[in-house]
Amino acid sequence: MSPVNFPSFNHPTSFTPAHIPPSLCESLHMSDFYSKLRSLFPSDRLYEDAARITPYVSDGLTVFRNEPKAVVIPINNDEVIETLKLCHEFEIPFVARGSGTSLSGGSLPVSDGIVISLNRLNQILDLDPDNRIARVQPGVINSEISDAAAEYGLYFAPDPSSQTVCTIGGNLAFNSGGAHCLKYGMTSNHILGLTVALPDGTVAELGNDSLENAGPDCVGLFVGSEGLLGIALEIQVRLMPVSESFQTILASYDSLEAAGDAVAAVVASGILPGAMEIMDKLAIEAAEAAVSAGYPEDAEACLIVELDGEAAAVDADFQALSNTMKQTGAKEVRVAQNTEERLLIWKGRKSAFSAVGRLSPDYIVQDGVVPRSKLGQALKEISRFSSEAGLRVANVFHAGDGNLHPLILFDATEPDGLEKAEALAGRILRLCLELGGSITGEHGVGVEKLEYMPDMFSPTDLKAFDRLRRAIDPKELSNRGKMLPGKEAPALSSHGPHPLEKAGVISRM
Amino acid sequence: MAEQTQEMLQPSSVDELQSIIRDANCASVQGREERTAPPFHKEDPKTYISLSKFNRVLEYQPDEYTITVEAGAKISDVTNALSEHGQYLPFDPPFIEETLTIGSIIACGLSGPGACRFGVLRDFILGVTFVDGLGECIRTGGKVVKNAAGFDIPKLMCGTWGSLGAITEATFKVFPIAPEYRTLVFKFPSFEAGHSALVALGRSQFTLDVLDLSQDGHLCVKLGGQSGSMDSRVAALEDELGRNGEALDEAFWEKSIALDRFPEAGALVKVATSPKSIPALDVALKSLGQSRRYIINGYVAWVHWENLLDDLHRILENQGLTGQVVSGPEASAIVGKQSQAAFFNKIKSAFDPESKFPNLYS
Repeated sequence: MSPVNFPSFNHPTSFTPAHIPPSLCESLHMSDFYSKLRSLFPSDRLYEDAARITPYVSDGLTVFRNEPKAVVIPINNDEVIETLKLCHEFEIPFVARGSGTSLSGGSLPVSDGIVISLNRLNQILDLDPDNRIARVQPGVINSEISDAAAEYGLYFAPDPSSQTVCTIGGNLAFNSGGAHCLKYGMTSNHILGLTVALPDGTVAELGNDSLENAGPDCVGLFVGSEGLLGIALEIQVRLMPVSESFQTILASYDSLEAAGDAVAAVVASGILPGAMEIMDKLAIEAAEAAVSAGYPEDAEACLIVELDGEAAAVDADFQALSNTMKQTGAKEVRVAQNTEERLLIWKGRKSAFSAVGRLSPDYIVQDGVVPRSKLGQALKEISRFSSEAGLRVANVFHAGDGNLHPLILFDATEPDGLEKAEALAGRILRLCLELGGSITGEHGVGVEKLEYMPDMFSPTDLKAFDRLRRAIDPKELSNRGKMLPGKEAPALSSHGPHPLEKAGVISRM
Repeated sequence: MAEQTQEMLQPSSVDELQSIIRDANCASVQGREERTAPPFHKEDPKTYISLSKFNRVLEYQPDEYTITVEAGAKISDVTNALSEHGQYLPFDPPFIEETLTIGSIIACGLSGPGACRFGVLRDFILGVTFVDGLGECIRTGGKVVKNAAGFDIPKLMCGTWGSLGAITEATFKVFPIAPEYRTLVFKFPSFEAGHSALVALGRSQFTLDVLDLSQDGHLCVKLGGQSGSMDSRVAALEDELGRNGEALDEAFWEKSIALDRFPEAGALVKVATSPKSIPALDVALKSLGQSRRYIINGYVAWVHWENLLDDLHRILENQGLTGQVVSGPEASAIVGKQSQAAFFNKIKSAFDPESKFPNLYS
């Protein structure tokens, strides 16, 4: 108990006695918070020392790091709820975190706040094959849901490249995508019901066991809210029957543009593939070196098209697709002859990010979206920007939905290395908007794309987002500093330090 | 619908709509001459707004699989524009004969039987622009098929019945129409047998465009695909079900649950269900003689309710289910479990602090 017994210390918004220096008040106030936190968590699940906090200072976007005051590791819902109530009482910002695979800095800590690690909330609570629903905790790994559902012939459709390590809670917060979004949608299309802890620790039940709502779609709002509206404690996900049949083809082309035109031809033919992916020469070479997927190394670009569905339907679609592909000028078209060949094609594609990473000391990945018909134009411009910046860019993208993934290679030890890469990334994102697209297809805004939000949304739109956030979280404690650009942000420029860095909120590795 | 005592305002621009809303005490928005306007919750003065002048297709590029339309555009006009290019709205907007508009379909959160294949309205809405209770025009979501920037307000809007504001335009993802469709009815001897088949087909590898169950235990199935594949797919389905399908009779569904028109009397109620929650619900509805139809693989029940709404509220609450009245004097009422109320009311306070638009939850 604090030696100076002023009840106001428990109420940070209230009057502070004049004869106590504010800094002392502050520290007494904080020590009260931490003593309460210590009574909630044993020391092996409350990290306050640098050694154990260090792994949490950044996420998949390693260029930013930030040291939180503490990390807590709850093992049940009550511990999460009690932590939030404490944070609310003492106005301590918190960041919920799963496996930390965010590519937009979504789980970057706040320096005067705490991290709530949800990895131990990792149970699949219920799996109901007749209702095609699994009820899971937020720390469950994405691919574990499909693994558990496999014995019933079911699977969880969203398949981000990091699916063997990323958690469903993070997928939900950032509305993750994957390779099959055109036909099957993003994470939000596969989350049906939620039990959530709001930022003040109250619990709300949203949605239900159905594919449909009766009343507003509050689940749809919560998914993709980047942690700004609270923490999902229990998640009802939709499971889908594994397709009876697949046909996966790998076509190689002499140019990226020809591969892009092939996508347009497939779309125009009225066939709806489960996935359409394009990789450029640099990505092909890197993936080949990493996993020997058997990609044609002499190609400038290759296109993966996958059909899925009932066997007879896939056979008929495959005939139509083959006729279309013949007219696209492919150098070579390979068809996966069995499951192993099919999975190998996907292994190459999904390893591309990390494989390209090996080509360079550092890289950043963008995930801007352009209208599909503008893909060719976008790729040409990216290539021009790349030469002008003197930086290599590898392109791996979800062609079916126009979702680009330029990987910008750079060396952070070079003077201005990161600044040049970020300036190039910024040019690419603004290009996506000029072409009528979006700054992010699936990685989210996080901290990385904050400065581009005003390019995509008007001040009125952003104010409305802010009003919505404060209606749920008036103290702005939940994942503070993500998605919504700060009102105090100066005129933003993609050069030089990040605005948050200037403000001393974040720093670089 | 509330009795109209004042003339309908027909703004022809967003600016005009904004100033009408800023000046209003309480406002009700209608797409056209429809029956989907929620009842007023305040005394006079009331402002009736029609969006009949917001009726254009703004952007449609078939290659993009997206269409952007104004909220007052009739659903039938939009589906016609799409079908000229061999495309459709995969959530299968129902009540086409009611001349519903895009804005009402979103506000009422309506999807039809054909949503079984690819998903309901929430799965195909990409962007929404609306004027909120403060008179601000807010553009949310995007115009491309994949977008993760900002709060997903387009999804939130589905089923809000105009309680957050007046939708002025929306962007949807669209898909190609299959070259051929077949619709068949499998007449099971009992409701239980039909329901078992519904559950089994839902878990199976059949990719069905429609999977509806009637109160008599008849399964209505539609599938679509390349013409050359249909005979063998139908044969495989008949093999799986152990019986032959029959062609769908014109008068297969009772008028009140045909989902073409709203019933003349009583309330049509949409209930969010799951395949396993249907048997208990059906027992309760059957004992009261209410017409019902289970669509989208058993994830939605349509109930033509002709008794006191409070009675349905209690039935659904006991079974842990929620429904929303879609037609009749009590349209927009949410019956049964109300677990979202507190959360949604907070959101409402952000967009409509003076409660100019109707309240969904009391």
